[in-house]
Amino acid sequence: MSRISNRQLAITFIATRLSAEMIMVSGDTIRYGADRFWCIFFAKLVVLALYLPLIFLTLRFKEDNFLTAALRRSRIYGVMLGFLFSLSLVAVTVNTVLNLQLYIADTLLNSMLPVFGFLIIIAAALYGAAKGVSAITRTAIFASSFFAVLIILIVITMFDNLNTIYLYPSFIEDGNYFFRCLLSEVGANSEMLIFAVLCANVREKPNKTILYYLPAVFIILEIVNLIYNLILGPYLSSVEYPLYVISSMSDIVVFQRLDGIDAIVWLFCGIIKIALLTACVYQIYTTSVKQTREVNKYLFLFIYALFILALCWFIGTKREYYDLLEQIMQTGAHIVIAGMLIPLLVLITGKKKAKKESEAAKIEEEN
Amino acid sequence: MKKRGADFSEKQVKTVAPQDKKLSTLLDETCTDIRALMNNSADLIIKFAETAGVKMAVVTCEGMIDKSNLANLIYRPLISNPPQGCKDARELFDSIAGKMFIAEEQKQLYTCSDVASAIMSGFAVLLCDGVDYALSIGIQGYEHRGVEEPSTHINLRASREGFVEVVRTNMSMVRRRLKSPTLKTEMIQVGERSNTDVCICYLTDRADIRIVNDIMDKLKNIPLNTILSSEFLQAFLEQSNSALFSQIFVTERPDVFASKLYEGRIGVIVDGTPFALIVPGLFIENFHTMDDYTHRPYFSAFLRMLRLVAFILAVILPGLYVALCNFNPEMLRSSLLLNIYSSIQTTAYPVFGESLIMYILYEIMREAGLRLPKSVGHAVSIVGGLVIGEITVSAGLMSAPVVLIIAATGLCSLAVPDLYESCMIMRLVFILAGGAFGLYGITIVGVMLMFRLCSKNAYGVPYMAPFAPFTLKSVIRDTFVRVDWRVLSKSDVTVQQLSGKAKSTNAKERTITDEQDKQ
Repeated sequence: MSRISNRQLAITFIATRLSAEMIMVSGDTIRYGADRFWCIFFAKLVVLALYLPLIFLTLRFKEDNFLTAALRRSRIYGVMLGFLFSLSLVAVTVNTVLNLQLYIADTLLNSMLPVFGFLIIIAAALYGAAKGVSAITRTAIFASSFFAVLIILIVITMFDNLNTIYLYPSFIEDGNYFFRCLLSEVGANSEMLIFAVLCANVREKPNKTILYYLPAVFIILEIVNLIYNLILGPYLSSVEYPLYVISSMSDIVVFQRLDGIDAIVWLFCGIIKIALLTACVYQIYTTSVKQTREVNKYLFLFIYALFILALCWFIGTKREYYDLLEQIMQTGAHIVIAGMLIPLLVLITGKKKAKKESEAAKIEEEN
Repeated sequence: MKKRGADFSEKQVKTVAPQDKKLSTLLDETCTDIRALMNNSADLIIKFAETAGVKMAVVTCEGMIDKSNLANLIYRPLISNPPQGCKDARELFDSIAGKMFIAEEQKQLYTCSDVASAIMSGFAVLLCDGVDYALSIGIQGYEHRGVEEPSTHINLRASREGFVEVVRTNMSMVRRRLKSPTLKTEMIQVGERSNTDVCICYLTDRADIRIVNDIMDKLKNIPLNTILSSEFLQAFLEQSNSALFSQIFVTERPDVFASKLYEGRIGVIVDGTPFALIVPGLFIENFHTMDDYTHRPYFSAFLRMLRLVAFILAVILPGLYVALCNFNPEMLRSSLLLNIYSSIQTTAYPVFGESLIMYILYEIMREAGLRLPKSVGHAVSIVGGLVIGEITVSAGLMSAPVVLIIAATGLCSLAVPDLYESCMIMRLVFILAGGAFGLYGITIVGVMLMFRLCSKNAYGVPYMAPFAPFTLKSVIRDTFVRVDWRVLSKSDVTVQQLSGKAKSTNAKERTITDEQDKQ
């Protein structure tokens, strides 16, 4: 099992969260006004509350995740929970691949067949998953740095276009929109699922991951939202991908517009997210079948990739299926079930690691 | 389990005399056995003499010994001042071996193969009639190149000394720079047929004992028969399959070698090559030179940044150009776009084809110019510069921007010579990706490359350290920026202390003096 630090995981989460934020289509979820500032704030509070079972789980079952604790209670029980959890991960993976492909088709390469786009994205993510969790989290550090550079470039080049006139004191203007936006912000938290699996990989104090991640992502999202409002103002709702449009207006001398670079960074972050989700499914699978037989990593990943590709093809080619998946994901049901209820269940029913087992694991790790 | 295929190991080599045959008490028989074992080779010299009435023979290999040392240290004492009052031949030989001061390196040998091995390493072997052992005396004196300025990694203000082909000379150059009792050198022989001397150097109080043992095990188990260069060993010391980036740092400079040992690394010097290996190597070190430590920190930082930019341009610029021209021309400045399109209009090939052809032509020219005599090399330069650079543009075969971009990336790749090979291959991959899928293809290849780089660990040390995993202290200490010597002297970082190191960084665990001295 590859070991990572809590800061590394927090940076990875920031990269994956931002990728989702940047490919989010404005209109329903992103609007001009003060509502979204408050929405992000309250959403992070709700998310913190949702993280509580996971935090208690990591405190009670040290060096364990929900699955290992459940498997210790009963193998069938553990495998069932693992399967249910994997379904959520698969749904998030498919949704991310579809959204990323749509984003690429809208921005970089609209002439490519969708299935070819799915194939390339999945292949790259599969390569990352095969390289392991530590490789993905290390790569995420570079992705986050690219994001930071991009935002700085945008702010510098668009400084003259920042209109403070667009800001006005307000709290919540449209209650209906506020709750829709809040639900969407809470629903878009697949990092919780990743954390539920990877908390066992964190070297020490896995809870600190959340303490670093939530405030950091809150600040970054507020800054990005502020940039949206200051530059696009009332036109915010009428553009498809707000940051992409802002980047297309940025002139950094070498390039007349930054939108291509912008698309590259989000694609980078998106692939990291899919790779991480795939690695989590693989970890669940290996943990579940460890006692019975040896797992062929490449065979598993290959079959899993084919499965995801088939699902993307099936859902991506039918508009009604895609809309249905989007609606389900926006409700955040998968986050509540897999990210909160399953850990809560394991917290109540799970079994702690015996002292001898813990010592043996430590010796094995040292060797 | 029995190995498939032919066994090429030295043990299977058929010689006239058995290799493990013990030396006979009869001098003639022993000499016949040695001659037979070495197939009566022309460079084998056996000189007979008589000392105190006992027949003796001195066996040497022509060209491997210092003749004046042979005369002064062996022939003269034996003939002019032989030990007196010995009862028999054995007592006489014991007296010569034990009491007569002949040379610093002396060893008793008991088998024919040991004798053969000693004379091929530049030893003179003394045989005595009536005695069943031989005495090897170190008087090596073969021809070799003197210490010169290294041909690679040339510096402005650092030392002018470079490693040479002789392992002992290289060891002394390292010792001269690290006069510390903790500098340990261990010699082993690698290659069943070549028996190449390989020296492993490390500082016992800074290197990780597990890495030392790991390297030692790997070197001992290398299945090659002949080791002619340090690069032969490199592949066996790599921890993972490294097609593009090596986790082993190669240097020709003893000052760089010594500084790396101080950082807790392990050095490997191979006889017969001036290129030493350093394990583990990090990606960032490819951008460092010895001059960076002699210049002012701000200038070093500037140079390192320049090298990084050169590396990035060398890798992606042609691919990016193809991608932008074919898929995202809106990103280019309007005036630049107009110029590019006007030159593209007059050429025969699409941008993708042009870039590919120009890239291949450049690499052919480089390869042709590299190994040719200097006089012919100039002709290649003229052909490259005038014919390919000028005529192809004026004839409308290539566009000027493509020629410029390929030439610029060629120059950029030379700014980071350690990564030249990787650069060359990656550039081709990026051209193909950019030509096929535009920026999308470039991103996909870039992401996969990053996954690859970030997954690599060299003996437990992450290859991309200290950036991924991120260690702020190390990043601001000596990566793309280097702090002042006054600040550098306050902190002391070894590779084992970098974040993400797989094993414990406990200093006590790493101190290996006690364990090894007990052994």
